[in-house]
Amino acid sequence: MLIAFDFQSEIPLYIQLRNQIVIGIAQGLIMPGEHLPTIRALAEESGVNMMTISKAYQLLKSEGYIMTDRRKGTIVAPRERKVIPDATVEGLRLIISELQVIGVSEDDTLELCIKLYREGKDAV
Amino acid sequence: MLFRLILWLSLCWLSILMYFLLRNETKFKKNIVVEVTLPFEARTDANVMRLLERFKQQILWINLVLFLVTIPFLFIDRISLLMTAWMTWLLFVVLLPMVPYVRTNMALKRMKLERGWKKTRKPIQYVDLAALPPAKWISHWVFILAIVISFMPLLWDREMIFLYLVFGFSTIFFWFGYRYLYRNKSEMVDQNVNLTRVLTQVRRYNWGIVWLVSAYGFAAMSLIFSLLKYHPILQLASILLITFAITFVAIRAEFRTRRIQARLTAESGKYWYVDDDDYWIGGVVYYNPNDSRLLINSRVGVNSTFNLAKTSGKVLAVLIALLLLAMPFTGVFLKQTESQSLSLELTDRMLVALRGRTKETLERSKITDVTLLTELPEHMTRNWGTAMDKLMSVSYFIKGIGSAKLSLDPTVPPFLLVCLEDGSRYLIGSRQSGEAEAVYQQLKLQE
Repeated sequence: MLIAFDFQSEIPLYIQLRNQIVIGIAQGLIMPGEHLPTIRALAEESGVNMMTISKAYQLLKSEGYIMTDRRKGTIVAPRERKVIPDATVEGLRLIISELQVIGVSEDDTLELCIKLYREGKDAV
Repeated sequence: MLFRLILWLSLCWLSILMYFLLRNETKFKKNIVVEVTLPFEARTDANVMRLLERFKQQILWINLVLFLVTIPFLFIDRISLLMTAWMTWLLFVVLLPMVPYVRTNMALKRMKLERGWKKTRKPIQYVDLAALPPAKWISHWVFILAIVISFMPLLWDREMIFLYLVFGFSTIFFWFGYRYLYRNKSEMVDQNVNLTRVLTQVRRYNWGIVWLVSAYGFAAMSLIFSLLKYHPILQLASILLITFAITFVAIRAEFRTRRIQARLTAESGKYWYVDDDDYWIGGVVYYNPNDSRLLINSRVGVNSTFNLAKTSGKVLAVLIALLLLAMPFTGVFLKQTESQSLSLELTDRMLVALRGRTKETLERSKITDVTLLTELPEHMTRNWGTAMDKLMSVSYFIKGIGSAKLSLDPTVPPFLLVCLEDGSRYLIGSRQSGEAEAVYQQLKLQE
């Protein structure tokens, strides 16, 4: 799976990393149980500060996307049906509102959601 | 003449090596040519080919002239002048071919823009999670063995301690260099994960070979200095052979890596590929403020370089620039060192050997034996100090005598061999005519 760090983006680097890993998991590019590189290795590879990588990993861990184990290292957490976090609902609300503002219809919004959802599901 | 010939043979080929290294830059490796990343179609583009051909011609002529310039060096007698000539030449070997190199690099970058081959202006760093290599290093014990071997002569020979320490610490440096001067980064060219993995392995393998061979080469040199102590010719021949072997392995590793990189990426560049040209100024300097690391792997071959966007990188660059610019002044420094005054002073209690501002003070009461030598002993190995046409100083090993401290001009005999109570020996002389004989006579009278 390819991670792209955009150094000109207004989105902080750790959020960029977190988002891409979440999308990667959803699209089946990284599977549950699969190892993620160590913080040091990823920092060495990308040139991004270790603290930044660590911050992204901490966030992913707190959100339940990854797990850390002393012996196994960092692995992608198994997929379980979970309660949708409030932050995700709020994020979705904002995105749907943005679509409403620019005049996208309810049907088109649903169609887009289904398409994007299936991209991940089909990949798995 | 032998020294000048050895020096010539040791250095003259650097211009030839420079030519082949730069010529190799005109072959596409990892989609890169003269440090510019280009798409597959550029490999057959007439304008690109024309630029590369012109570059090849330029470096051929520059390096040919640089090589021919060295021939008169064989006839320079004075060491100081000879070293000035060689050091200035080395500076030109490093800098002169860089002029057409940077110009070609810039011309290719301009062409890349004009032809729409530049994909994005955004500074984006790509990382392929699947290709990230687990670091597999050569076991520390392999290097530790070389370190132990290089320090081993200290167990049985204390006369050339300094040399053995130099070899021992150099071997430690090779261990450190192998492990810490390498950036553990995968060699990503495109989205082909297997290609990335193989390229990374090839680079890491060749990197390891160079440092390992250097470590064992130096360990062998340490042993040779000790075991062939009484066979200077054999010693010199062995050292030259090992130096040649280390150099050969290093050059071979560089070219082999480049060859494999070219072969494995022969079909790359047709679709998506990595392009970080913006960080390589003139194709020579890496400047990336987004990279938190100082050490950078060169994009082709096995070398490392450093990030000039970092403060430590800037300091390193200034130091290297100063070292390069100071090279032609080596001769001036040598001339000054060689021509410093050499004299002997005898007081009621002391015998003083003066060398410039340095004094060797020997108590007369502790002198057990003095010998006047009209010529120098045949086999002398420098342990530490100078070994110039007109100055031999500091610490030497002399066959049949052992370790001795020297302060003399070999062209101005006679010399005094002074032995002290504690077993230490001094071989000293003066540039003032008759001074050594006079001191010898007075010391003999005292006996």
